[in-house]
Amino acid sequence: MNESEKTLLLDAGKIAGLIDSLADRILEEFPPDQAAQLALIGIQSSGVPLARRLVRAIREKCGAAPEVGTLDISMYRDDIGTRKSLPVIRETEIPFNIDGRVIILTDGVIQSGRSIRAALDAITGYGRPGKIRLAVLIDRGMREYPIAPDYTGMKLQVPGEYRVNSEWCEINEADAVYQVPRTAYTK
Amino acid sequence: MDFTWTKKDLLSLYDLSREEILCILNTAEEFKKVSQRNLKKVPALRGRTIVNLFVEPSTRTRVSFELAEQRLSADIINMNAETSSFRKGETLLDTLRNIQALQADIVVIRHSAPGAPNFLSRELNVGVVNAGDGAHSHPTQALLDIFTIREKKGRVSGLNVTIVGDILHSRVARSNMWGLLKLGANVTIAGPSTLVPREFEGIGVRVCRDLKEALRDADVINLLRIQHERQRAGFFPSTGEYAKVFGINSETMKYVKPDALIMHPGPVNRGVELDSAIADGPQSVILEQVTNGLAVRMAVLFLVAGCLK
Repeated sequence: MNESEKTLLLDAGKIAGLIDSLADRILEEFPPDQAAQLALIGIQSSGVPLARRLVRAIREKCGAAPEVGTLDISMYRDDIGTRKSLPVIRETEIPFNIDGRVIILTDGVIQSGRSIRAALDAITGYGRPGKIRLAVLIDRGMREYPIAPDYTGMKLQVPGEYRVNSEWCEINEADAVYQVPRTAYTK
Repeated sequence: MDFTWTKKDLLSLYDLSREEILCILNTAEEFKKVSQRNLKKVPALRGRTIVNLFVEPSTRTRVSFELAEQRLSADIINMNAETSSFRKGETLLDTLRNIQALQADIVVIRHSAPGAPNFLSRELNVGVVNAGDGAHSHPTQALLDIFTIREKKGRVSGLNVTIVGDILHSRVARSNMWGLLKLGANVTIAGPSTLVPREFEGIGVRVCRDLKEALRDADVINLLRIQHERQRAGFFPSTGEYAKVFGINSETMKYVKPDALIMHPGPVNRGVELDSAIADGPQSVILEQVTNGLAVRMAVLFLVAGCLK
């Protein structure tokens, strides 16, 4: 991908503010005594740093420390063999029992809703959660499945010919949200 | 940078790069976790059809592939030499064309003829996974061996791996040598000169005639099954004689490092290449190899399926 085709939409400071407000909204629904029982599970790969940051923000706000896990959805996608390239399988690490728990799935950007569909399948492979909620940093619209986040950092209107990517300093160089022309991925 | 798998077939480790081998091993690590859950099945290959074509007898490899396919939610057709139309004189290609006409996606093939999987991958528009072809190649066995080594030792590069037995006729040995060398291991092969010819030095392994010498620095010892028909063909005088000179027993274990792994692709000839006390002992990882075989085969089928047009 040609880096010069990326256009910055949100910088690190703006993202930090969105995470802070996401944590506030989670604590509105689950007050501190309940927040300690939450488990945040990040969808690989951009949901993972988001889950960890949200856990940190919740801890700083109320002292409760929800558990944190990671979920890879490659084995649960419905487009194996039709995608241009096979996804790289990343780590799934859920070191706690999810039966009856409140799970908050996290993802960087929601678009079609297909990843979330796969994530719901994947998570139920590990047990039977009591409730599942969805938190995303960015909702860029263009939904194909009837799935809506429970907590949204920000809605962005971006033309369909662009992808919206969240980048995180744990994975990439810095925290940022970019729009990238889809044509940049086929070059 | 992430490596992306691009091959619709797995024919031989000889054809694979170091990165491709590591991609399979890394993918297998995640599939191993699936088998450790209560719900041991994922929908990855739902709606895909896999044909298991075993033209040569096999129990553990066939069972391992079948279970891997079931845990990936694929549909399965099993054909073996006894029940198929091979007995009626149909050619391999005709059998496979029939399978293709049924819109199968992947064929897992075990055949006595070296190169049979390569032939099919050229002729047919399906994914082909080699489950063993003559003395040529058995890539998933070598991958599960290497996976087990890496899991137990934390690395492959720089390890001393000794393979003992009938190297000449062994597809397991060939596949292991190719894979291990690509990942930077030092490979020693040992056994009678009739079964371990010097020519193997040409691919970069050490040939050793003295078992004690071959065992001394080994971090991993992989033992191959000694087949009785080789004795009838005159490659060694008797299995008793073989056991005395090249068998692993409490006597020869004195030369083995206390943390060396004892491996065997199975089935074990107890008392010939390996004594029961060692096969069942603390250094043996033979049953873990079987467990890991399932994860490796799930990974291979998943990767191959992802590259079918």
